[in-house]
Amino acid sequence: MPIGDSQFLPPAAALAAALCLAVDANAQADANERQAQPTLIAEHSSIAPGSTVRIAVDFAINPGWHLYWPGRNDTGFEPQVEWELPEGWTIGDLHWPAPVRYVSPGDILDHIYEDRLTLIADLTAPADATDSVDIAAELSWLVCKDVCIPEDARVSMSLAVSESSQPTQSTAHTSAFAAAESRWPIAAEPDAFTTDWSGTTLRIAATGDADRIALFPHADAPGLDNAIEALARDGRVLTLDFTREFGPIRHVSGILEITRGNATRWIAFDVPGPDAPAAAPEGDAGATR
Amino acid sequence: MSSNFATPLKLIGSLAAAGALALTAVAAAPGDRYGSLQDKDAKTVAKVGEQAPNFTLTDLEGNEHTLTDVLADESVTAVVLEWYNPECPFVVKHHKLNTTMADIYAAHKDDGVRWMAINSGSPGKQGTGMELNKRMAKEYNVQYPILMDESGDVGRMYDAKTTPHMYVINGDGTLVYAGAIDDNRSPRTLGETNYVADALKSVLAGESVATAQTRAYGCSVKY
Repeated sequence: MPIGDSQFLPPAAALAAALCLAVDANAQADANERQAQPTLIAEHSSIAPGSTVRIAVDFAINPGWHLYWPGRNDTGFEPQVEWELPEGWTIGDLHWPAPVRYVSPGDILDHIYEDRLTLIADLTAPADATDSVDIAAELSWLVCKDVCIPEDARVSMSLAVSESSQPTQSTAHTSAFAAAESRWPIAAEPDAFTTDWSGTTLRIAATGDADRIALFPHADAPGLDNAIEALARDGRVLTLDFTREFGPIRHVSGILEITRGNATRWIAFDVPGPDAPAAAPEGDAGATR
Repeated sequence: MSSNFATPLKLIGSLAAAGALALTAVAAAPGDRYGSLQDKDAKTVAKVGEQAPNFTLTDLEGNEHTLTDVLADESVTAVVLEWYNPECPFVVKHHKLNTTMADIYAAHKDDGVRWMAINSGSPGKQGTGMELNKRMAKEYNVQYPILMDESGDVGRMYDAKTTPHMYVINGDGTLVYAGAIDDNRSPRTLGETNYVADALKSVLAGESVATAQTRAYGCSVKY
């Protein structure tokens, strides 16, 4: 659901994009007013024709303010990104790092980002790319602390196209990419946790010791009784009482956060629910179910 | 419309719950990462399909409004409750950038639909204070009462989480809809489906509400 549809993109914008100095000057002026300041960054300073380079929308967030994860939240919404790419160039989905839980008075549960949010995506050049490329994005987002402000910006960057097989790393941004990637949810190892359904109650148990376990549910997660209390617990077990108030319980997905000592893991979580469509039987094996 | 609203026993239960809540609700510091359930002892009373909990609140002109009194009026077919904070961008979306609330109210006020905005913000927080609320009501040209709930008791009783957070109560006093105003969480763009308009149409047609519960969106209520 794009919210930047009322965006002003004056005819002069294309010209301004070419005049990097002018764009930078505008961005500087707006930066003084925004609570979250985005820039477009690249992991490498150039891109070879036909190859892929990681770029990112990098938000610097003022202290005390936060942006939203695109999952189950009582308030807010995640930053909206609309890319503007030259013909033949493609960009992949944004990678969202694991957020942090945020509970406000009134049992209001959100999952947020503070200080910095780096949204990485794969940019792929066409095989016939030459010279350099201008990449831009229209951004709109909600930034909150005790109050919320809708903000928007247009960001752009220029990337050299070079046949060089070893593009130079732009070291200034390396840490942002690494920090974001360290919080990407990982595919679950088969023995990381176990799940059991009993009626509409889901029990999730981390394997081995854990000091803390939490689930950050995706936006389409079913309704949950006592969500705040149930979704994060000391120890290794979560017991979640789902309801069918918002519809059938087909599956439960999100990010499972398991903390043990100083180490925290974020695991991509998705288990079928009691209302999941029955699996298609595979030949005669289906008869034994 | 029949006024088979809450039995006296149920009302007492609701009011007692609200009282208990005032004593036990401890506001945790905002941003408490793993905050336990702050309102644990004050279970939410409002449930879709059940009797809407009663309350009495005072509007900006000093008039008291009691839900059961409103419903006792035989001409009342439905009551809409709108959680409200005039400075929240999502309230601005529906009161200034668009006239969502005003339009639905205008379309149905002659059908016996009553509408009440409720501001559950804690004094000193965004969108609170009589002067500000009076000024903004004039700016937004709000044609229905704005009730002040500074303790947040009524908001917690309804589990109101956002502004706006919408509730539709039928003429019998049953809560028939709780959730978002529409299906677009943007602070600017309206959704294609307006759940409150749809719920009111169903109530007025004597039909059950198809979508009785959705997830609200907006700013957090500033408890």
